[in-house]
Amino acid sequence: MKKFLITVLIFILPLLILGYLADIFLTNALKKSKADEFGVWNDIYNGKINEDLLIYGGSRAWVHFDPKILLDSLNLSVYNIGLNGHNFWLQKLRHEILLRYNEAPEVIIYAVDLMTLGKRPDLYNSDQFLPYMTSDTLVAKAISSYEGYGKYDAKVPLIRYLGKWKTSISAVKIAMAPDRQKSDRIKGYQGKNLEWNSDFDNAVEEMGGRFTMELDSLSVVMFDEFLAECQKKNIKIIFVAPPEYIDGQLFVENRPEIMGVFASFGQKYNIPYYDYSNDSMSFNKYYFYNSTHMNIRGAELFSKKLVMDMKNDKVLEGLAKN
Amino acid sequence: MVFNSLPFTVFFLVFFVLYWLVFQRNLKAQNLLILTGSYFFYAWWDWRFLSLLIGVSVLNYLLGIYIPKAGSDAKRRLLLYIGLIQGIGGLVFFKYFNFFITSFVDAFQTININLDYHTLKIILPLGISFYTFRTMSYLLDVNKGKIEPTTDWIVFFSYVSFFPSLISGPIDRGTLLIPQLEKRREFKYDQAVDGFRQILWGLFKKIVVADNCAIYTNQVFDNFDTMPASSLVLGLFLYTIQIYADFSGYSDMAIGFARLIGFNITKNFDFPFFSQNIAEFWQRWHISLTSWMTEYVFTPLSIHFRDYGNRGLIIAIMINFFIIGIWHGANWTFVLFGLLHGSYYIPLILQGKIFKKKKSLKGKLIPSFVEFRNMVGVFLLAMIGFVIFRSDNISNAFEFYKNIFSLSLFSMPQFEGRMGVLITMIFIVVMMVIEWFGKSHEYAIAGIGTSLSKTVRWSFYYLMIIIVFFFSATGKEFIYFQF
Repeated sequence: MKKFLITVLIFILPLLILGYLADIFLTNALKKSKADEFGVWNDIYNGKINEDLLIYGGSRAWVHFDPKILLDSLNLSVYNIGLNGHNFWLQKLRHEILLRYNEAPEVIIYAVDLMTLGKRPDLYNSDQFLPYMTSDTLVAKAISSYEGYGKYDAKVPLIRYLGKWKTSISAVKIAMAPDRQKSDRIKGYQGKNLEWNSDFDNAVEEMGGRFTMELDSLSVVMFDEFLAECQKKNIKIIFVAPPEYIDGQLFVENRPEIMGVFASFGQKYNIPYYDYSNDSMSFNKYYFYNSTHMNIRGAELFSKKLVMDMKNDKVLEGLAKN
Repeated sequence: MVFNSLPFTVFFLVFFVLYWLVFQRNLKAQNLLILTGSYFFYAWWDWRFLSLLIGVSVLNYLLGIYIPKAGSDAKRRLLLYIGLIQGIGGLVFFKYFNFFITSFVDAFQTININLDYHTLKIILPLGISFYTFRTMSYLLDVNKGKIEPTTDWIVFFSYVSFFPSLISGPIDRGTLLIPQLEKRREFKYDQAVDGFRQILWGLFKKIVVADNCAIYTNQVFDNFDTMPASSLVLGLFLYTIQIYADFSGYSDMAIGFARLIGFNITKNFDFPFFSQNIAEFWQRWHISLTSWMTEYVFTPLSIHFRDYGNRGLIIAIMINFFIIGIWHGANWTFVLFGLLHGSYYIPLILQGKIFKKKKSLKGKLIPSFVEFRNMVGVFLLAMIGFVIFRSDNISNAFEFYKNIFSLSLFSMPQFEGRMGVLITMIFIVVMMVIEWFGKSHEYAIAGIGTSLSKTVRWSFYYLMIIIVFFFSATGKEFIYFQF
């Protein structure tokens, strides 16, 4: 028995050391990643986002607002920190960490949609939190309410990498050739060169008809606090509801009520609200690859339209650079 | 509390320390620890059925004692029947009650008679199919005088609820496990190390091979009506591997944990995909169930029907496989699965090959063309059967078969995550190659303990652990838990 226990200990010891070192290796490599959400998180943590204007929101921010078009027309530096697949709950986390390591922006364009004030139960694309969830308690706390990581993942080294072979292989590649990385996101934005696909038809089939979406009451309160905080810090907010394909709009029964919440917040805090739900683009599949996301054609046209509208309304007048 | 979970790891660590370091010198205390540990393990799943497990143990323990003492054959038979009725009745009630009622009503509907009926909300007690077969074989063995009934209730209760094999088998016989429970166990270094090795191999099969296959087989069986035939065939191949890797992986872990506490329990799989015909396949697949069925169902039936020659043998086989099929669950798909496999035997029976032993491939490095062809043939037959096994209902199964035969069979298979499919295929090849070279042993990597130097051996273990860690597809339950 004694021999067995000693053998087990001798066997396990290198594994524990290896596990600890592997955690450091993988985490450090991912902190240099430029891919997808990693790139944006790393830019945030490295204090590289000091632009005048930031785009906030979910995937409809990420694929719709082209910073280059906004920069050329508005003469403001722009970065798109749209967080794919997540609601305000984690968009706010991104905002808080951004303010910790970067200068506050002068303007935030908030891409609001039906999902902004909901809360999904699962931690979509959970890998993006791997490098920071052990070192940043804010991240660990924010993601703890999701079905994703276990309670030991943020505390025990390497455990969170269990089954994450794709990300681990990417980390090894980054460590071996950090300069060979390519990022699909330019200043956080990623135009999608796609045509209309079957996503919407699949969703209709799966849902079996119109459905209602739920607001997360805590997210609504947090959103209110966020707007108040921005007002206090003199950060100008602009709400934008980008075009959404009409069939998709009709698919959600309580869409008017949900979008009405943003209109109410707009009134409360005197926030300009640009709603493109009824824009001609929303009636043309040519600009979309599914009902909620425009392709690169649509995104570029929409970005230009938005700039024009904001210029016409002079909403950015009075900013330091204008 | 699945074997590959943190709660089980903690449970087993505590158990192991108490078992070997605190209670080593006291057999009764060790057995009591096995019993309480097993009940704790079972209650962690669902405490509500613990009383059923205890009740079944009490009844069968008493019947076991009184059967040999019964004064007459009639009394003896009565006691045996009470035990068998309890066992079969428990299964019928918990597992098949609603199935029988709805099937009965459906049958009447076909002749335009509509019956009012109510089904019950019955929860299937975990492991009932496994522990019921244990108690039934115990009573049958006691009745035949194959085993002396144990008078030690702790031993018997521990036998019924032995935690490594409680939830999904292997279905250990009293003749194997009870003598081991009655004898003092000594800690053996080699046995414990071997147990660890088998657990590692089981983990690889379960969470690397089976669980990664599951990602794609679920895609295929959930969308078989829209996917190209090539995807269906690949998905079916993956499902055949999945079910083997899942169940044999679980069995390897169960056997490994039992070995860590000094027990040798029933081997459940013996490299079935290297079989030369379907009869050999079933001698190597879920061995503890098939040997149980052979001893208590097929052999008595074939004796009963011996005057009918081959026809009698076919009837015995079909009944045997009907029961094997329905044992898996209350669905006509399982019945059809069993009958299909039974029908696979008919050519063997007619050719007089059913009892003919095929030349063993054990120790053979390269199979001959005929041997290889036979193995592929058996694999294909298994694949065909697993369509029915995996489908929700028989019409889906036939639809699946129908969809395979289309021109899209020659297109590229479509899956979400092709890289993952490729990696999974690599692991399948690795598993099959290791199994081929390790087929002479109890389990595929058992030979590593004796044939390789310590440095190579440990490097192999470390590599396996790294693969299991990074390539595990977590969160999937063992398929056989549902049975």
